[in-house]
Amino acid sequence: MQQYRRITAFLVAWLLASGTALAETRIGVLYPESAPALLQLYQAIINGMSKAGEVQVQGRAVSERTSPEEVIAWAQERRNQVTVALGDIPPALTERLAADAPLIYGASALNDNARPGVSLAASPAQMFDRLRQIKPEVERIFVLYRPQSSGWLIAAARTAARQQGLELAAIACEDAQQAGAAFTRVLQQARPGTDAIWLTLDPVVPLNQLLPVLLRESWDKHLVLISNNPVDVAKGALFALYPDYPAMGRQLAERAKRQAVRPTLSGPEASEHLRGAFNTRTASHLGIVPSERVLRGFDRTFPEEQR
Amino acid sequence: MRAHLIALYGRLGVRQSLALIIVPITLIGALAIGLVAAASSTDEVARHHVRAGEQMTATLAQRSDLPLLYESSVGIAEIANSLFDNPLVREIRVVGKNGKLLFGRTQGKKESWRYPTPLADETAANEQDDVWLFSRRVSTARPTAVDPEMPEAALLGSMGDEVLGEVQLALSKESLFNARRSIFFGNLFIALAFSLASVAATLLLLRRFSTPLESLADTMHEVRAGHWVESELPTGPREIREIAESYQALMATLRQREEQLREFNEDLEERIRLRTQALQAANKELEAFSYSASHDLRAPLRAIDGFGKALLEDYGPSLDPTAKTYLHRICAGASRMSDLIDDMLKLSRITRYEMQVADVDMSEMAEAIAAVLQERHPEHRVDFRVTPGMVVRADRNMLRIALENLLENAWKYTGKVAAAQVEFGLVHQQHETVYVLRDNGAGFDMRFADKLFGAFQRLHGKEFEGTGIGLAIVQRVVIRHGGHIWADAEVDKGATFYFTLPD
Repeated sequence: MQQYRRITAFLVAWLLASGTALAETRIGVLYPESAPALLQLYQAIINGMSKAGEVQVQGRAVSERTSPEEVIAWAQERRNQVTVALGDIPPALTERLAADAPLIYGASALNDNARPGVSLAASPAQMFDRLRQIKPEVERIFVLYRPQSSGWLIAAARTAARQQGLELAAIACEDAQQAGAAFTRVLQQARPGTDAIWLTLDPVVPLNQLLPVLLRESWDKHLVLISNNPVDVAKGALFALYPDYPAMGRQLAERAKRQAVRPTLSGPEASEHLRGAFNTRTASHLGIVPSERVLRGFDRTFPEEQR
Repeated sequence: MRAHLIALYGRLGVRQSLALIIVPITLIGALAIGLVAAASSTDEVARHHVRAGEQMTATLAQRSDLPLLYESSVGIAEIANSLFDNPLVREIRVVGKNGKLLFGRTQGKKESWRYPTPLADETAANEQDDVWLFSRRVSTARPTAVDPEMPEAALLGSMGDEVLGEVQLALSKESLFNARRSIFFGNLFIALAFSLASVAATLLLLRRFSTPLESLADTMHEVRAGHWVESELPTGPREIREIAESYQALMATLRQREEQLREFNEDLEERIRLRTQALQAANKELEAFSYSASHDLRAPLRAIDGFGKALLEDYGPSLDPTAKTYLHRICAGASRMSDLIDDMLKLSRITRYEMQVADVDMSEMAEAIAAVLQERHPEHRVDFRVTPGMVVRADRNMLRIALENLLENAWKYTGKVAAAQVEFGLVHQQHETVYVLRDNGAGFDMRFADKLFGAFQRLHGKEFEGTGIGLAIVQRVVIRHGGHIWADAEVDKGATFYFTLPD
């Protein structure tokens, strides 16, 4: 009798495990061979993906030398249902994989309105909500973008701005020269104390060339400068929201599961799980005295971390 | 030409020979090293200029991004003019992404250079005959270095870039040419100075070897010329001093031996002189004896023969046959004695005769002698064959005596042969010419061959007339000419005489 119970218990456990296994989404993750610092970030994302429910995640590094056949064989061997391409994967690989199974992208800006995946761009709703908390006087937000790249982000931003009662002055630019000229006009038009400039990850904005000018002008004109990159905050922007990579990994895994069920799902989504950086010196210059609650919402402060 | 050069080289001394080899090698080696060093230095200069050009281009690109962004040449002029402070900068161009020239300035003659196409964030470079050309793309790309304080920002910075335009810079190679000239002549001067110093050192070193050798050679030359020179030991390397010491010891030994030899020669000369005197005295005595003997012996012989014939003529009819026979035999005996005396004189003359050597046609001489013999003995027909053209170096008179004796013997001993044959020729044997006289006459018993050339030795008794002195005379003649004679025969089958007459 005891033996019969043991056998029954084993069978039930096995059935449950099989069922679970059948319910799990098998995700293959490709990431580029890179410097150790970037590899750590990719690994953090993969670890985050693994912590999402009902997924089996396996990562693999690829390079320019990796052949599509190798990767396809690997995916088939693992019976991957979805492939996630992190960072800058050679198009020769992603195009072949996308032909066989759903493929989504992560760990990049996803400057393509049709590209499925989770972008490094922070959620506009959270950006504007944080802005409201820190500087409620802001009424208008300027942003420059290339429609083909960041149209999806600006569409979400318009919705978020409306919800927050903000005016979104989104200026479309086709190239860096247009963006440069547009910023000149913005700086001429901007109203001190009530206007903000939002720096996204769209490469149409030549930040390497314009950031010093923007920082100087926004300092002089008491404009609020918000960003997607904590490096900009270290240089003088008021605050930035950027992805929490492990959490972004979970978001990617959820998107992968949805993609597996609906392969035609297209378009990027912004990162919802974010970390923050805040510049207290800039805040002081702008007359902002953030509460403790606001400061606790940021993971890093500049010029120095004083936690 | 090659033989001439070898002969010329053989006449050179040690110092010249070594110098002829070492000096050119040193010069060529120094020159080669100088050229290699010059080439290497020139390459380094070129690399330095290329690096400088790349740095200037990178600086220009870095400062040109905003002007290109705003398509304004204002900011470019300042940086470009500062770069033109370098006199080697020939041209600077800043071109927008649509090919629009935002800034362009050329120093010197304007050329249409083809700038290389830049790749990514690297400076592209190529060169033409007189310039290096650099170009670099200007883009909006942010630096990709990972900030260790903010590793989380590593992904956020590399979101792609936009091309703003291109900067181009032309750098003159004039300094390279100048450097090349300076380096070349500098290295050439150093190489030549080094070569001259090396050559001078080499020649000084060679002197250390060649001077003692030359001194030794001079001493040897004097000795060879017969002048014994007492010279000091030459200074120099140990081996050369040892050679000189050994040579001096050798020379001392040679002088000692030479002295001994001279004394020995003097002693020998004295002995020869004494023996020559004795020999001359003996010859004189012999000649006196021969003359006296022949003269003193002939007189009684003439008396014997004369009175014997007188008796036969005057009292012949009154003498009985026995008495006549006795008288004939007395006359015959006297005549024979006279012949013997004549032959002895001949033999002694051959020994004392002073030879006068010249080329003699032995073939002609033999034919002449044969003709005389034929005429003398017309009843005895001899088939005489002689090889023509046998010319020898000999005393004509002595050779005639020898041939006369040999041919007379051949005629005599073929006297009883119906078809007498006599042949005179030559054969070549072992580096010498052997003359051969062959007849088919009586021959002789080889058991008595050792007596053949003895004086007054006869192997045929009364069968054939003769005094037995002919072959002794022939042998004496051949020996005096430095040759040798031998014979080979068989009884009643003929005889063959062989003799040599060395040149």
